[in-house]
Amino acid sequence: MKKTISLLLTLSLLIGLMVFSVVATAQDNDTVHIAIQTEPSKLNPITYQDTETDFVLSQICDPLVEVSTEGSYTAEGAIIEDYRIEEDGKVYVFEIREGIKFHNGENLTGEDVKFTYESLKDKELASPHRSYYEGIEDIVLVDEYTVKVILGDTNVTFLTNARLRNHVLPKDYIEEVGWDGYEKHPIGSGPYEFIEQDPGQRIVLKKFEDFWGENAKIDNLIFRFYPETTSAVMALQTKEIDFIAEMPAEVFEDLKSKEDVGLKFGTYNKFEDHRVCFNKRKDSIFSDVRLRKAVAYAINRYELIELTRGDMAVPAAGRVPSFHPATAPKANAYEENLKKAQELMAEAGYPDGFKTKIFAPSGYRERVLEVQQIQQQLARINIDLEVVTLEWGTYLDVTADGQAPMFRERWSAGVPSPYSFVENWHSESGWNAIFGTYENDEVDALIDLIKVTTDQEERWQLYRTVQNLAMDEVACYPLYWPVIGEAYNDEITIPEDVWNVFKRPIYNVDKWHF
Amino acid sequence: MSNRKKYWTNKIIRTIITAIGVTLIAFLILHLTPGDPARIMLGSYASEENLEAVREKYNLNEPLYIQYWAWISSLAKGDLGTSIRYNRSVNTLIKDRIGPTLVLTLTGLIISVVLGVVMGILAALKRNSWLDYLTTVQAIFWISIPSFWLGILFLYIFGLQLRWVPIAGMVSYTSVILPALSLGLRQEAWFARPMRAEMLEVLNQEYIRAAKAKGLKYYIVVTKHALRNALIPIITMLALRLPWIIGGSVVIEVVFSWGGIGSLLVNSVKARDYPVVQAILLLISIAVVLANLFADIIYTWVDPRIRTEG
Repeated sequence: MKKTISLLLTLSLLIGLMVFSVVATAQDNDTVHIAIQTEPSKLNPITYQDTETDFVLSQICDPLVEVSTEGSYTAEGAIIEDYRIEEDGKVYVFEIREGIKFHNGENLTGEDVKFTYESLKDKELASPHRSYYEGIEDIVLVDEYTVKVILGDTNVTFLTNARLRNHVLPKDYIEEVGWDGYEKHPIGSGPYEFIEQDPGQRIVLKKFEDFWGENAKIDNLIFRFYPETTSAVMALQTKEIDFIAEMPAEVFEDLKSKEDVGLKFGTYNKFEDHRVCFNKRKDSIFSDVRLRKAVAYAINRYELIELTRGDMAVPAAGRVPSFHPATAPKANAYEENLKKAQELMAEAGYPDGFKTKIFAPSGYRERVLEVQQIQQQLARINIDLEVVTLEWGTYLDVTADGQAPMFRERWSAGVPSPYSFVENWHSESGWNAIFGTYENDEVDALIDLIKVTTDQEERWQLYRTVQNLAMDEVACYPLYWPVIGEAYNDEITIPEDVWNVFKRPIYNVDKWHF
Repeated sequence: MSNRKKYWTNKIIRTIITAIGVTLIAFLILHLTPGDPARIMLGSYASEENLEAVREKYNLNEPLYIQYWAWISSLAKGDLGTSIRYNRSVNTLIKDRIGPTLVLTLTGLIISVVLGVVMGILAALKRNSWLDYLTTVQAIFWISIPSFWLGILFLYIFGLQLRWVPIAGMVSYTSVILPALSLGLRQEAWFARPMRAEMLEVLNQEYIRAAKAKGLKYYIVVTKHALRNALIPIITMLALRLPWIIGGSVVIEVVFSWGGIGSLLVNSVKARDYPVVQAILLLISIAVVLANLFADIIYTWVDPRIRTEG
């Protein structure tokens, strides 16, 4: 028996040595370690769908068009030298910088841009992002470094999702190695090049020396996967990792309240809103606008913010966040008014209250706590609200099917256009039904108009009008706009100008330094 | 047919039926769970057309029995399928991650057996002393703490406060210590108690008295005579606890960012990545079935009466 045990011990030690000799690394000042929650699904800009992949790809690839700190389109930091819009917004002409090299040494040309757009449109590849590119009628290579994208209709929001944010792909390389080959070793023209991926553990990137712009200041970038936030936070405190992507607000507040943790802190406003959606289909109790209003008047969003986010949120009025010019400060925010709520209920024929349900995905602690709070708030006007929490996949099914009278939603808009905040109110939008349906001809017409209005100021005004109208009918009840807090290793400096939602620290690791 | 032959034929047929049952259950549990993999993959904002394309691609629209048959037939060829989330062969995914899981579970198993046996012996030798009570108390303690909590507690004390070991992930040789302890201590109790009982029984046997009477040194009586016989049931116990250790490692892997099968399973369940979850459930079940078979073999080897009675 003793022999067996010692044999087992030796064996496990040996296996251990083999595994760990591969992954053992030294901590030093030329490597930054970033914790992401799960392993990226596949490093393929066409077919990926998770934010983790996005974080990694944005270091490897460059955007076709970049967004400035203020939220306007710019060539700075992008692979274009310039771009212009012709024929009333139907034609986009991109002039590509010469001399940009992919990580395999090949030149980036218009051919690659065209190839990328075509891949995104490709039916076989079935990109989940394909709908953004459906408006493209033709892609013309004018000369080696000029690409013309022709749209079927004017669409001022086209670039928001179709600016190839981390997409510009090497055509020759992909044709040579295939998509599977690309996923195993992705190549781009970005500041970091892919070195290796230890499955289930980490992805290693290295500074690309021939980068066309300013070289990254930190030599190595390692993404490590931490499914459990508690562990990641402890690793941050021991400086095993330097940065946690998407740190939960409560963790940030907690770390900030501690002393001598060896961390620095930064915040920025997200382009995202949190809200309560109503099922407004005919068979739902909330097809009655008076009951939606009653609920809105009974919810106190300040209490919810206090409960789950502390200082890390701005109370919302309308959908577009307050830092953006398209925000609608005059939209009805239904400040708490229980008397009015009760009057509305009586008017709608429910003077003694009614029973209904609110749904939240169980994996999101904030949302669950908030709906429980809403349950208590609505009890004050005799609404007997049942809280239903479901696992994410089930939650998506149930809410999209119209089985949830109320549900707690979140919308993250692609930068810089606020269009998607209002687009789901359009009766023909694919998301209209998912968020409980909403129909208003005037709103439809205004949203159509936004799409073709090229004058910026005029467009912002249209956004405001749409939000005011929809809020009058409580198309949904906006709760707050979140503020993101990041705690990171205090030996690292993250420059001031990336602390906004248009740049974001995580997308600009090449500008960090020790 | 001899009794022996009959026994083993029965045994093997039963194992095969169990294995088929397992594939069916693994398949059904997943496919009957609400949640559409296409929607999870594309997010709540996906258009119906795109959803349909994904369902088409992974045959999610076919009737269940056709999907099951397709899975079983490729399984027979040793092909576990293609992951929806990772777009990679499941065989590769598992091959890449089985190493870390083996290291973790083996180390955990060794810790639990060695500690359990030592505790059990000590408790038996010093029956009703403070040492005996202490082993009982610690056994109850470890069994009562949920393993994820134990893991986080260990991380907090030894990783964050004392900084003896790295917090999580597989970064150095010491990384395995905490996850293996979290895994092993919980199982240790399962060995300590039977070991104590077994030792007590053996120590009361005639041949032990005879050995003592012969004038042999006490430690030789204990190690050479008593321990050897008391350990046999423990080996069976080991086979039976194996599934628990594998199961426990799922949670532990998540807490310790251990890039093994367990964290892959958790990710895949979240993403409704059917082929991966099915494959892992199948592997774990096969391990359980084999462990049981192994336990049976040892029983019959130790106690030939079972062969005819079973």
